[in-house]
Amino acid sequence: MTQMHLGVFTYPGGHHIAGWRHDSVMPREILGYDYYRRTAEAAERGKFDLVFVGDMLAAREKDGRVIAQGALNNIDSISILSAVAGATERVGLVATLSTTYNEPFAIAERFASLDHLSAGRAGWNIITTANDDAALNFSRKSHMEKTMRYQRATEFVDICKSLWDGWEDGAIAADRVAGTFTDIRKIHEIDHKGQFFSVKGALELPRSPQGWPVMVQAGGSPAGLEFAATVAEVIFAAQSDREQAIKFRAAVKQRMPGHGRDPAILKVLPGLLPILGSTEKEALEKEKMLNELLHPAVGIWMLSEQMDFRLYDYPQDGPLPTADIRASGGAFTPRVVHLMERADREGLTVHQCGVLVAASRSHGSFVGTPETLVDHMKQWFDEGACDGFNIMPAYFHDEMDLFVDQVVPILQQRGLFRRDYEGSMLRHHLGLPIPTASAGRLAA
Amino acid sequence: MHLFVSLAAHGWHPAAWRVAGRPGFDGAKPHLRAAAQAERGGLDAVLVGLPTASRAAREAGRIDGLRLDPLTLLGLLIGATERIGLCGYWPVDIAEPFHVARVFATLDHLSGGRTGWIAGLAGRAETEGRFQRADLPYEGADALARQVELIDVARQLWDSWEDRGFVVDRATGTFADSEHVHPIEHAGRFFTVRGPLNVPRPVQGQPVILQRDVPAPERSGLAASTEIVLGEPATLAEARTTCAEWQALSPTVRYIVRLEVILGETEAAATERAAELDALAQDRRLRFVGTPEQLAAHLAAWQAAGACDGFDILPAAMPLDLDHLVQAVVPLLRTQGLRPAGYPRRTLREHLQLVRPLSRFAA
Repeated sequence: MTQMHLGVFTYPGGHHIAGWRHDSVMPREILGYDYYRRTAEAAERGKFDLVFVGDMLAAREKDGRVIAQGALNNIDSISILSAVAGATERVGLVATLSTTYNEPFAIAERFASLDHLSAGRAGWNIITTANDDAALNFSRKSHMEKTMRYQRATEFVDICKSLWDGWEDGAIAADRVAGTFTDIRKIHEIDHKGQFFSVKGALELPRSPQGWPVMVQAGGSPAGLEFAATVAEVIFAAQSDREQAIKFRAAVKQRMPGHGRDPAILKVLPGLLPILGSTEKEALEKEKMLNELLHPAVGIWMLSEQMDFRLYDYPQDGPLPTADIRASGGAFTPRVVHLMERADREGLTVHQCGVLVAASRSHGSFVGTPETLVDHMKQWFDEGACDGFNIMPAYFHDEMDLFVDQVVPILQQRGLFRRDYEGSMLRHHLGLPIPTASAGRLAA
Repeated sequence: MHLFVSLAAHGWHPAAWRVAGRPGFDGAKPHLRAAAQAERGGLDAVLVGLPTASRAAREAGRIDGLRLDPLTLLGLLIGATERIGLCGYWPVDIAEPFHVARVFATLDHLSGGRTGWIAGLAGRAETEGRFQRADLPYEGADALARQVELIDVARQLWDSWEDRGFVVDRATGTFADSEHVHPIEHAGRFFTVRGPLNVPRPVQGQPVILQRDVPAPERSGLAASTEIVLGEPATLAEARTTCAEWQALSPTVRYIVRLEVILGETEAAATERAAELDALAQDRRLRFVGTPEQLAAHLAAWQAAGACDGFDILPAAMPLDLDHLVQAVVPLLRTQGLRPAGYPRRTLREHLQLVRPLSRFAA
């Protein structure tokens, strides 16, 4: 029977933007090794498929000043995951790195290294960076236009795959008598000349245990969808509506055969922020408590950023000005479109929308008991809305522990989730094929 | 006396892989073992990622030229050690200062302030083909100018959060004090970077900055951009001259001599080991062959002669030469008062008695 896949998205403080203010959080410790080690260990105790870390290349700010009440975004992903690799044995390690502000040779080397030193547990969440503020940190005047970004990303990933495929199995001869360390006939330089990159050479590392890190993707726009159909094995989707999620998953799968890919391998894992209590009432109180910790300014700021539309001068208790926002002509992400539709439908105010966005950062959320959460997850899973979830605890570590100790056992009892790992590599956990060395060259 | 060890899976002698450890590739295991051993010996830091040979030599297949990404390896070592400093090579040739500042700030937080950045120019031979940046200078005065600017921008970014910028006061809900987090608004010849960094100020204020030594005419240009210089002088006289030159350029710079060591319990045993290795491959590095007692005396004598402020030991073959260093040489240096017992303090800056810089934005 098919079972769910679970990831945990680590975050400084927690995924509720005010989660860092919870009494149980030691906010001075959210940048230290032990903070991340604890999350990774909890994930492994819960037999999770993977630990996920995001990436952001600019500070959260408004009008040139850093947002005072909002927590930081993730600190560097590969650093966190290489540090916890030694404290864990099975759980997958998925790092987000941008194809917009990096170079393929360096990134291929970095993921091959992470895969080696974790014995086959690396995954790469491949993103493009659309943030104007990031451009200003990289000696550019504005960010690259979306179509270009995805073209660059596609070429970037092709180069990485060719580099990972450069070493045949058995390229390390280690013949001490003859003095041959590597059999250079089995190491193949690439010589790529494309629209964005020219790369000639080979990595200085043998093929890593998984061949390629697991290829993860997170964008939901039309260009992102096509890119996902081309490369993604896992999609970290921002979907809060079940019907939309079903359509999204079907849309990607439908596009995959056109790229010569088997749709059955794809795993779509929407973000899910659970707020749990032993009773419905207790859970609702916890949600209320968290939302009261939320500073209104943070909600308005997050909303303005996501919509690329300044909401600061609109009355907070008035309706979300969706007509004005649509008229601004912004290139709205699907999550923004969904939120505006919901605001119109439910008559949400600016403040309410701010709370919604800030509380879960427009991912799905659920408030209830462990039993009702499992019902919710099962419904999404059974109806084809997802293949599992990327869990986004409201704050660390109590909410993560609660999920592992109270939700995972119910999922296991109901046959929805593994009782133990069956393999050692992330590709094993996800039921993904391990690419052979020739696969990439044929694809390229 | 400062004491570092440079890590290499099999060792620094080009024939080390033919006699030492396991013959092939063993992932990060040799590095994990070496870092733990170095920490037992109370060394100031391990250095990760400096190449053991030229790219051409590494790619010819006759030596262990494998290269795990130094930053990823540094991350792994954070979880495996508690006190020892961790320095990683990230050449500046194609680097972006925002990436460097973000990654090292992260590593410095994760490690509790134990990181150092080895910030050299790798040069055309190392970089060519792999990175297509026709706009970037590979070598010469322009490359140096870019290097100096890049290090300066990284330091500005580390300073962009004053220490008091990271407030995290649960009661008031103030995460950051925006009065004390600053855009850097850098607009220079090579980089335009607005900032601020999106990681609070590193534990050490700024990670320690190390560089390999450069030809004499370039030293004055780099003096303000480095705290530790890693030299490979051919003779004691050259070391003394170079050390004095750096000190004249910057009184706070520490000059460290990189020294390959081949050790044996007797001089004859060490000489025999050296002969065995040399018969397999030629070794062109500055090196010491002898007993632990002789090495301790040699290090003390060089330091007393004003040749350097300490050493970066390159074990010829692993783990034997590092084991000798930790088990026999370090205790002798301690007896002479040249090394502390264990780690009296926490951060790499504290191990090295380097001042923690104030943020340039702090009033």
